[in-house]
Amino acid sequence: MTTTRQRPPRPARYAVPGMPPPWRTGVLCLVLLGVLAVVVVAALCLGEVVLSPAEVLGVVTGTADGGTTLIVTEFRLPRVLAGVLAGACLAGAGALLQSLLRNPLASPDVIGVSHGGSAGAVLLLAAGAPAAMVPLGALTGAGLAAGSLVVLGRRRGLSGERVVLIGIGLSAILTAIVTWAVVTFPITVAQQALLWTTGSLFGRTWAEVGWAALGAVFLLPVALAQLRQLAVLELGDDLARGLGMPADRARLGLLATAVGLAATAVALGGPIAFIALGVPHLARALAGPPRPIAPSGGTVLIGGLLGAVLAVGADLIAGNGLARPVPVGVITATLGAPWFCWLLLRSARAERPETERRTA
Amino acid sequence: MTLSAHELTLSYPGRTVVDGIDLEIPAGRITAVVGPNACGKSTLLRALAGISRPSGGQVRLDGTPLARMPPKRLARRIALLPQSPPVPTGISVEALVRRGRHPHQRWLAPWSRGDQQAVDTALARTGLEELRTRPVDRLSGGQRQRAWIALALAQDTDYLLLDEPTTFLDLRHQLDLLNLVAELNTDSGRTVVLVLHDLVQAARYAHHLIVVHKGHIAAAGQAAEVLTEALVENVFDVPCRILPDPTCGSPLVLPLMPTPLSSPSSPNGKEQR
Amino acid sequence: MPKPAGPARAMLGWLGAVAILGLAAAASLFLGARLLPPVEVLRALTAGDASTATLVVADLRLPRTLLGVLAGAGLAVAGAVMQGITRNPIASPSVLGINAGASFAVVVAVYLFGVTSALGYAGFALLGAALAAVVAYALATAGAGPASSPTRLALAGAVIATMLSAWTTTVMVLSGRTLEEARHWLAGSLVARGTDVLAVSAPLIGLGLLLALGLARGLDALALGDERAASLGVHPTRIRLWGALAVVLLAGASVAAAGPIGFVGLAVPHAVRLVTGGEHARLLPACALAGPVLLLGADVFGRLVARPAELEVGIVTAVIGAPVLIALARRSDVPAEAGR
Repeated sequence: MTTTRQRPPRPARYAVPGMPPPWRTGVLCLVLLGVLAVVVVAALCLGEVVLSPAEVLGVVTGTADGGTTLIVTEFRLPRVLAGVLAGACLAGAGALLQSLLRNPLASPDVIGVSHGGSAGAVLLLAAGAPAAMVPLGALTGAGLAAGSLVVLGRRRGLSGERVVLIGIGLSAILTAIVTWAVVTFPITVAQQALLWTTGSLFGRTWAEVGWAALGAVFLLPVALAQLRQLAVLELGDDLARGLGMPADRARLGLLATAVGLAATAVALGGPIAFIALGVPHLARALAGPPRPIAPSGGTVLIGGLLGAVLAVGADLIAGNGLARPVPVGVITATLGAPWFCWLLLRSARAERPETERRTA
Repeated sequence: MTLSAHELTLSYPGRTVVDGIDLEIPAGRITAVVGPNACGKSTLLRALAGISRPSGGQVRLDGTPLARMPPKRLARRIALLPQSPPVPTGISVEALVRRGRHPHQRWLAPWSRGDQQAVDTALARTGLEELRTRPVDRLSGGQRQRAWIALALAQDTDYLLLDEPTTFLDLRHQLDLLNLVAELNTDSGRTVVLVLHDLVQAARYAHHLIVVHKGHIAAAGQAAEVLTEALVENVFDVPCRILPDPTCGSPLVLPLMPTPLSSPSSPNGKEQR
Repeated sequence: MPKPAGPARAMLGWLGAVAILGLAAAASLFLGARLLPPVEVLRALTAGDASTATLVVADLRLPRTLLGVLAGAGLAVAGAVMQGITRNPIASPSVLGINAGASFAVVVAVYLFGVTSALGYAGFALLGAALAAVVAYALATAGAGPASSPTRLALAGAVIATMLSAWTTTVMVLSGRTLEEARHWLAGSLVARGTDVLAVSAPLIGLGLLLALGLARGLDALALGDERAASLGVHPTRIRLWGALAVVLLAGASVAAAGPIGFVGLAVPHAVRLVTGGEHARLLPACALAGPVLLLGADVFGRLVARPAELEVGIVTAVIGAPVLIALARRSDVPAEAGR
């Protein structure tokens, strides 16, 4: 039988039986977009100066006064956009890493990228650099950590377990650097440093958001395009190669994308806790059974939106909800953890235990 | 259309597994590769599929060295089913079989009607149409093996290489699988290469037999010519009698029992295991 | 997987390990920020006078060395057990939320109650560690029926640890005073813990070690998968429960005494496994010997490198141990995923 390579005049779309119908993902995405819109508007309205949605709208249409416009466009909008980008990128990075490393505990924290960002930021802070430079330090730190991971990890192909171990080693060193800075330097510097380790979106400027957006706009579509590779890699190296995929190169590419996304997010706001670890699990749960480990495009989209909602919403609460502003990471962790645990309980009761298969 | 190996040497760090062999896979036939454990059968199969790089020599498809073919093009000509691939959790049978279309898919091309047709055909040939929505990790061993074969079939290739596809299956399913493979060969002229452990099955189903021993080809040819008592004893270290199979005439290999248990009054050989 | 050594070689290996531990302990006694001649050190160990040498050696270095041995063994064995019960190579006691729970409890104690004594810190740390582990364990096993998933355990613990760690950081960000007081403890240190802390931790760690050793066969079976373990007569849930208890005892007591030192529990079992193989009857004692070597070595290094000040042991273990872990990970023949 010769190979068939027909090109039909109208590409058909098929629902795969047994998977959630395509519209479920679409509906979920729309719902999440709606929630995101609400949260964004709320974040633009609330703050030290409380604005009404009408006033915020006025800024968009150009009818608002100078002061309001300033507040919204110079302070709140960049912060909100930073939240959206950081949340989406972290969720994407987490989803890719968990599938790539075949480990549900995998996240950019585990492989050292988040700590690299913290260490970079902290070192600059300790050196007395101006506040505007610090995100750059974070980016450099995260980038260096990511680069080291890739360089150190690629011996005779990229093994999931090896990458994780090297990442843990890197994390440990970088955490030690942060700890050293926290212990050695004056309290004010130490507190600033700590802020970076939990994630904070305070004081983000358009410059940072602009660069991050560039990174995200480039990387997120790349990630989506690489998802097909993940699905094939899941079948094991031999079969993947037999299907024409250069397994090592594909894994390297996926790792690069994942750490790129993580570095972008970390540069924006530090390693906002929980999002990269937990959101992929939540997204899979929302997308409905069956729940493959290799994420589909829909799951990644859901995850990205969910991450954005979580980040912006948490920042909203962190900035305004309590007596004093707290880092956003604490809110994401506090909100995310119980939700996650409830999910664990529910899945324990609903499904019979999945047979674990650790191939790493 | 020929798949052949020329002075092929395959090695892992520290040891040579296959040493300078030449072989040719007859097109349109079923070839069985047999040999004792760790003789290099799987390694050989993987090299024939082009997924592992030889340390010496070449594997050629229609004269072109595999190493020089782009991987996706090679994957459209040769399909490999490795031994016990990891079972992905949470996907349906159809989703699994769909992945077999990967070599045919372009970077941005959506799922085409041709792709769907190939998947449907593969599911039909393996009798899995009823099970297409079942999660793969909930299938029985026999069903799962058929799902893997369906994946390989969806790849729509001229060559089908199967590494020990019958291990872990019960007798009925082993025979079902082998019959399926035989049908695929006769209906569509696909060339099939199977690594098998069971010499009787190999003799019955294969047109061509390759016996591998310690990294070399001990014998190659038709089963009736290749399987001799001397060869089996030499390669497998099993003394045997070879009789013509009453059902189809191919060589029937009967291992000889050790002396104390072959007297009529001794307990049935079951206790020995 | 390395081939098991013949009995003579194995005995030699164990003796060698004990010797190295002895060396490390000796280094911890003989070396330090203040250089004392070896003869002085030996005399000070036995004499009961109030000379500076005795003060340094008997009152500072000796408890410190003992603490290093105990905490090192406790953390390493806890890590090995944790990896065994979760079947996850990146598990460590901190995955059960132990370090995070201890840190949070300490920080809260300082913030709310103004606790300052070493014993106070230790007590709260132990409490926090135990509570966090209990919550993590309960979450992981609630409603799961007879077989609790090790993945769930690791996930629950990781999430709780993240949450507690975020809370800890927040308290410190909000309260400079708390940060000032607690930050040294949080960096992990073997210093100035006092013998009463040691007296509390030592029996707990001893108990934990015994428990862990008793679980060795069960852990081996668990590594084969829950179903196969059950077929070998081993009850997976029970092993996990006892294992978690051992981890809490070992790591909780270590954290209580020495503060959160995160790297030992993760890296030492990995490195040791490369030499002894995965069999727990050999792995656990080897970890108990190797952990202190790392910890004491790091402590001594911290004393020497920043003289006259000292670098906290928690920082140094990471800086020393991580490159070793990375080198091991690169050298080991972990093949790229072969789809097995």
